[in-house]
Amino acid sequence: MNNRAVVAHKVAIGVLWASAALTLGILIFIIAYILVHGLPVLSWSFVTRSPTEMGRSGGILPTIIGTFALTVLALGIATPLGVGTAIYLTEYTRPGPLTRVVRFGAESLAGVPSIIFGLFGFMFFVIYLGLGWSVLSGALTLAAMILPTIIRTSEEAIRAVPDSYREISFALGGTRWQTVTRAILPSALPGILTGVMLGMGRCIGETAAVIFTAGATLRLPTSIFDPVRTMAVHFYILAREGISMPNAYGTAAILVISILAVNFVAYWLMQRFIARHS
Amino acid sequence: MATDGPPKLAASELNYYYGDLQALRDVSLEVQNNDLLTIMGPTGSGKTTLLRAINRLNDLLPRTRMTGRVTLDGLDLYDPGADPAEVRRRIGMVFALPIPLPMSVYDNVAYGPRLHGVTRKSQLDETVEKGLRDAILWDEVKDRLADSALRLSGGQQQRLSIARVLAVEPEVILLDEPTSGLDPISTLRIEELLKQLRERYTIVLVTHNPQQAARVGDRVAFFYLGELVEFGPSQRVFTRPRDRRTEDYISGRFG
Repeated sequence: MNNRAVVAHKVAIGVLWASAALTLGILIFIIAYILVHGLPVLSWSFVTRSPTEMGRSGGILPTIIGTFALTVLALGIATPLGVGTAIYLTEYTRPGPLTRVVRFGAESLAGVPSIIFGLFGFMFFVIYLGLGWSVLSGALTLAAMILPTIIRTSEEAIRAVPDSYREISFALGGTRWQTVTRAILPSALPGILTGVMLGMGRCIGETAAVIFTAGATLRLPTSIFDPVRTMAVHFYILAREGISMPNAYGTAAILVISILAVNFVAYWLMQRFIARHS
Repeated sequence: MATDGPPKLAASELNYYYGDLQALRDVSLEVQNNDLLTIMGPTGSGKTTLLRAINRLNDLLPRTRMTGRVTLDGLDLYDPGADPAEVRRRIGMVFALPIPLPMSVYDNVAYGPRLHGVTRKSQLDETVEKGLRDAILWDEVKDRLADSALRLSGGQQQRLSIARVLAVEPEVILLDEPTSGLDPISTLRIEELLKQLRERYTIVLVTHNPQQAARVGDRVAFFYLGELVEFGPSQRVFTRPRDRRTEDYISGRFG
């Protein structure tokens, strides 16, 4: 009987190890595959020049700018809204029907496929509000798409702040707002940032919602009212229309590298912040 | 010992309810200026509720109800015109567990003054040093003001909590079992600190330890099941208790 327990133990360890190894292996394989195919295409001119012949040659500068503009603007809209909603739900209301409705709404929105957001953005921002295919329409759509994630993660981060911090702040004569900004948010910041990073990842990689709302032009945008093409959309079009697989992989490589870079920088900033606050 | 006069702090006919549970029953109590009152009683006797009603911290809890009055210098703290934040600044609170905010020693003490609009570095430096000196912590932390407060020992963290309160210049200091999480030596240091502070502040100390009440209090109040059972000069209460329940409690028969 003891023997069977030992065997079960060993099998369990083996299975768990294999799952972890497989997960990591798949991730490494995907990144390596993209880099192996993409890196040979990369050069300084690839990231600093505009595409020619629909992307068959030339660089991808407008798509880098497009991705950057869309993501920054979407996060700029969704972060204050999402964090503000989370603060309201956790600090300014007591749990009741209102908080349940808002939370249920946010959770339902989180499960909606991005193409639905694209369709909504197209009909509402592009057509009804007359914003046309533009950075603004795309960013508003992406903001709506990532809002639930930011609300949920911020809410949990804020809830995880010990009540004793609130009491200390109030007991020293702090108002609710002072308590939120000086005692609660600094402690909740790493968790909030995690939500923002998740949202950013979705923005950078999104295609369906972006094609519907920001367009797919290869022109260099000059304002937020211009249409743009993002790297993800560029990659999709290059590959799907069979324009240039090497350039598609080159674009994917830049995409992967930028996501990794942003994550590393955010992680590093967070570590510094945590080191300073604990 | 305080002389008789108008009380600094007074509660009259205070009743407090958490939902259906009544935590305080008709409590009336006066604290003179620069008096050190200790409130003792077993768990659940309403000691903490009284403190939190005095500085309006219980305002933050849902489904609570209060009747009666609490006054500071004769002014009703629950008057619709009274600002709860200002009430809490004037009546400081030290909690049972020594909990620093997750920031540096300096920022912990400067937290209160900053809330109240102090931004000048020189003024903050001065306030922080004074708070830490008054809490007898300065010599131990003066070389590591920028270190995280979480790295201090438990006893140091509790003195830091006191320094944090002193930095907002309160008139009354409430302490809710401030030594319950500390070892005997740290406890002794806090008690010595309280004896020094009572020269300048009106202090209310809650404890579940009758020996501590006997050691530090000028006056002592004994609470049992939400009721103020006995109230008087420490020496009288501990030598000639008038109520049977007080006698049982201080002789260790329950609690």
